[in-house]
Amino acid sequence: MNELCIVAIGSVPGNALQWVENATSEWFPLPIRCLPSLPIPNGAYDAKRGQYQSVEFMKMLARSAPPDASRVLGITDVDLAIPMLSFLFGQAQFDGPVAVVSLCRLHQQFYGLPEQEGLLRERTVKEALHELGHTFGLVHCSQPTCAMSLATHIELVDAKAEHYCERCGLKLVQRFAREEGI
Amino acid sequence: MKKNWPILVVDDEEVMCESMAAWLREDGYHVDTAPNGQKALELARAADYAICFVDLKMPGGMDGIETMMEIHRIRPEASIIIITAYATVDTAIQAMKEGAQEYIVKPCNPQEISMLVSRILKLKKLQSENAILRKKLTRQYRHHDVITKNPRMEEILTLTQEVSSLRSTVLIRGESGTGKELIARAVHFSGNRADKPFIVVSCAALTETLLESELFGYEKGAFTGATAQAKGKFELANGGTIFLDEIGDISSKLQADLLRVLQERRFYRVGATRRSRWMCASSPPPTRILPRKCRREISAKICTIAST
Repeated sequence: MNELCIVAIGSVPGNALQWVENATSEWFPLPIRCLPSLPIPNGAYDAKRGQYQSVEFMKMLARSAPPDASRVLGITDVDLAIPMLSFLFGQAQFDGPVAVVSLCRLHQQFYGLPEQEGLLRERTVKEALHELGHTFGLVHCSQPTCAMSLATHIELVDAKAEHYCERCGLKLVQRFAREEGI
Repeated sequence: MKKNWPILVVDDEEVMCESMAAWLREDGYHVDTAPNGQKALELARAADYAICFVDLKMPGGMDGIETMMEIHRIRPEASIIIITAYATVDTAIQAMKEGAQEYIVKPCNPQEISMLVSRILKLKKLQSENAILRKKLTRQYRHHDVITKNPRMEEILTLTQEVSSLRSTVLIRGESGTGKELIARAVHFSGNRADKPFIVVSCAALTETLLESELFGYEKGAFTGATAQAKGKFELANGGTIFLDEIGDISSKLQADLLRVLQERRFYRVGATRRSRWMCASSPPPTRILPRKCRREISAKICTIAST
């Protein structure tokens, strides 16, 4: 049966996978499985920028995905970027099987503030739902409170709710009905 | 809406192309990628891209500037954004001179790119709507849309065609309901001002003070209630046509103001000089009303070409 797999890449906060598993089980009618952690991919580090190339993470996820995995979501604590953009909260293969979320800029510590685990959990859930939404064909939503709205800075992540808006939620349900025969 | 505005990313680095395309696809855009200028041109011939992100430095063959110029030749409407990791003032100036819409240095903040793309597409959408509306209007007011078999009316239509591209003032006379505004629109939309505004002012419907502010606009604080600067009809009709309906009904004071504008063919607002064609309409024949109500000078000015 097709599964939704969650995997840590490198070292991530202890509860991160659990947070994502709980949140995704509410929205995705698929068996959810946490896979053993993967190492940070070789060659992903860009010493000039002090960041990691997201594309290398995506390639590694695609290579290591179990054969019965419908989607694989990687969670990492390192700072991701692509050549064109200075950073990413996450990246997904649009309507494809892999996505990755970076927790680096979701920590309050990144902004010189005391760490708040509750806030980190909320942000992690929002970004995980966002990237998984893309893998199921959802595009950015114009409603700022929807998990699918585009967040280009942390305040916009905080403005989102930990769920999809009615329209995006419905699209997801229709997608599952079509794809999974549910 | 987004699917109607395809985007092309041109870069010799596959990672750059694919990651940028993936990011834009998440926003709902249709994105194609090209590893070099030649492939970009091939794609541009086949699809009407709204935005092309073109890397400045591409080894071998065409560089970013050459690619941009060639894309512009094929698709003049495409907005080209030159991207580079090695920005210099010279390359930026050259790119902008050759027609780049933007010049950005990678890596960029995601918000910057997102806002840039939505700003360009918003403008394109407005331009496209504007073109469609203008086309509709032009079609609506072509000469042959005025249906008549009356030889006198046909004479008027011939005359309107003759005057449509002149800068002269036009006086249209006729009883109420005989189609003065229709003729005015026919003059405007068949001439070389068709793509500029056509502004109608009903002189009879407004009081003297109101008409003055309507025509000339006003500055903030000019009178009680003028809380902000407002453009007048003359300013709105910039380069187009202003149709003064029932001009015979305006007061003597306003006639003097209009005379000055007519004589100088321009009016003054802070920091701007505007020019527009005049068209006036009068329901009672002016020969009858002019001696009583209309100044001789203004009558002479507006009667340059008169059609009854």
